[in-house]
Amino acid sequence: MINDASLLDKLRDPSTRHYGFNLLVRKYQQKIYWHLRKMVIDHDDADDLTQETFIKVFRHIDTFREGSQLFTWIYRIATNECLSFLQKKKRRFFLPLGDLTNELLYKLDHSPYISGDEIQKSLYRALLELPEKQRLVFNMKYFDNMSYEDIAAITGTSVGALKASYHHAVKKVGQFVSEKLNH
Amino acid sequence: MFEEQHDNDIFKVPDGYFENLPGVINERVVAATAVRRRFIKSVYAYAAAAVLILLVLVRLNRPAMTAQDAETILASIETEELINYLEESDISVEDVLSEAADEIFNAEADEQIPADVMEELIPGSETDTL
Repeated sequence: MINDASLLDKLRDPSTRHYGFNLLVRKYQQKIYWHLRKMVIDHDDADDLTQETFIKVFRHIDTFREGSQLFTWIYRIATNECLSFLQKKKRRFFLPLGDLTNELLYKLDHSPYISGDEIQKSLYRALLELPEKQRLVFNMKYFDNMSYEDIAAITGTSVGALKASYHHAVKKVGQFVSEKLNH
Repeated sequence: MFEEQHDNDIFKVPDGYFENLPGVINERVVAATAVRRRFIKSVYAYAAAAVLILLVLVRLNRPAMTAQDAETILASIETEELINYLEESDISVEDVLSEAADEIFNAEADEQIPADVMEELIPGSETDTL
């Protein structure tokens, strides 16, 4: 697979810009989609956000600085898109946090393109009880197996705070799943 | 306790989704670029029209401004200097008075100029019919 330096060279050359962008989308689309899907649950919402993320990447690629990694930059855009989307949802319907959680829980049970056994769904139900940012940290660490340094670059949080956040999230999710399984 | 679930996710996507997604995104990028180009072109068109209108307005206001400027310049010249200039030039006093009378007739065509003023400006004019 093409490396990021070559991708950036192609993106910065007007004659290969669209070709380079196509390669970039192919390289990162799945990571970004799954990152967003775990947050918004619904396929259509994740699809919209993935498209918006890459359109922003194309529009702002000239502002990308070599000091950071390309994938953490794209993840940051996706994460911001996702958090804005969830905030807008809350504002549009004047929903308190609990109601947004209920909406996402409902989607977990009723949206198309979701299947799996009850144990797996229980894990996601537990995750939906977490505050959004804690859920983000948990997803990136647990599912995407990212380093704390990369997560810190994406979220703009210190590594120490991330470790504490992840520790709390694991504890809460563990308790929640255990309780559900024992009932 | 989560490890066994790690690689077995519950979320699915429609068939061929990731094969088609780059094409969908590319279409949107091309469309957005075209819209931005059209927007920039229309901004330039409006700016050019605004500049043209401004130039026309400036041009239309220019004669009035010139007349005002001429009056201001004339007012700043000493009367003695004007007399000296007229004496040294070939223009006769009658010509100057005649020009002044024409100006008055043109500017105030509807107004009747008193006969004594007219006689003072153009001696012998009292006998003419206006």
